[in-house]
Amino acid sequence: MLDSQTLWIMVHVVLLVYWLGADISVFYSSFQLIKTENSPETRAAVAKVLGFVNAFPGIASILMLPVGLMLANGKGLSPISGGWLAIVWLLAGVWLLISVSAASQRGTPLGKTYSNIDLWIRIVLIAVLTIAAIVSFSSGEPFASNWLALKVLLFAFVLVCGLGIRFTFAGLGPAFGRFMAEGSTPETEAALRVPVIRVKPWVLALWAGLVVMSLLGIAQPSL
Amino acid sequence: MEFWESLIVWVHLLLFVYWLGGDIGVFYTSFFRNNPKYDVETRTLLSRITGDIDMAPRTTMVLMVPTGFSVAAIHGYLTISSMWLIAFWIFGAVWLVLVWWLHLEKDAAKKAPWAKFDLRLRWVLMITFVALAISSFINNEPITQNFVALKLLIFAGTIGCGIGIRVAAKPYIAAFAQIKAEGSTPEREAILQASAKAARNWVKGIWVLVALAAFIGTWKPGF
Repeated sequence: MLDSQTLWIMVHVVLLVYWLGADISVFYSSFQLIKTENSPETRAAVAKVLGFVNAFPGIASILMLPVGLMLANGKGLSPISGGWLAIVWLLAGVWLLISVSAASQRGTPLGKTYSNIDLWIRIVLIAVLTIAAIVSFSSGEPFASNWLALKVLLFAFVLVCGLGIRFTFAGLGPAFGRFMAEGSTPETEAALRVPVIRVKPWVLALWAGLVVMSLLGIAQPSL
Repeated sequence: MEFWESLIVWVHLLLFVYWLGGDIGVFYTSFFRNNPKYDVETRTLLSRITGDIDMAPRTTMVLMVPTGFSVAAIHGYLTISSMWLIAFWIFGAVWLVLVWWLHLEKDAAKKAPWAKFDLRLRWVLMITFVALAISSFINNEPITQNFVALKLLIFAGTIGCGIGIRVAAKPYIAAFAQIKAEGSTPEREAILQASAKAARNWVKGIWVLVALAAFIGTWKPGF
């Protein structure tokens, strides 16, 4: 029979689709932004594509955590259950709202506030998840299996990569605005190239983290 | 799971991720390519970008054949000898080379016979997989589990949708070539839009089928 655990695994996998799978379009599009043979009009269209597709990984990454905790609890590997899981979902919902609002209100003071709150949520999460993983390795609590604790640690790593992307990519918007206003000059092209090139290692590290996490989830090795 | 089993399931999962996830970028970019507000040069470039991103789903679909059969074999769901798996992998590799060559080669005249061959190959594969699935439902050969046979049938359906896209997009390609050569007219744009819309329905068909196949693979229902 179809049990709820199967459904959650499916949701978990679909979230990976919209995170890792969608990211390849974002990555490829970003290189089209700095191609000098692409006209400003083409690049403006590509920028719109990039903005749209990039929303998918943003949403999927936030939902991954509560879904992952549901699965862990279903397997009896996590003490977060019942009412505590409901709280996790509530917090994730609030985080998602804040994150989506930060994106939709970008450029306004309110958007800036949302973005700062989102940043702090991520910093706190990175710390909490890292500590939870390390404590689990040594004491078997809160996460009973080392492979799961490693996934939690890698999730923290992936969040760090996300912050790396955020800070290196922050320069892209202004640089692109200048490029559209002033046209293609050696200066505007160079300014555009900097964030696109610098973001590359962060993106590749993030993908590596996700790919390893998916292997751990499938293999569930005893470490 | 055992190491090899995990590894092949993992590759199978990542192919699914890049198939469905990569398609988001293709789908969204195509709207810009179809938009008469952009000049022809921009649309041509966007068309190339769409084609590039589309190589993610195209590549994964080809590799789904050998990985799918390998996953089935490693779980003991196949009655055929493992020599067949080697054949599937060689076939996948050769087909992949063809698919990439068709993408990278710019000489349309040189490509034409091979594009036709690729289309015929898809027909043959679709019919073969439907026959194998039906044989498995009735005789449990070559696939012993009905849910796996159903997945093969669904995969044949995705090949069918891919053929549908090629047929539906024919007026599109002709209209786009006319727009490039002689400029945009409302009639040409109308043909283009109608053709793109028909193709999009086949694309949505693929999404539903691929997601369904993933769901059945996760669920593994016995029937």
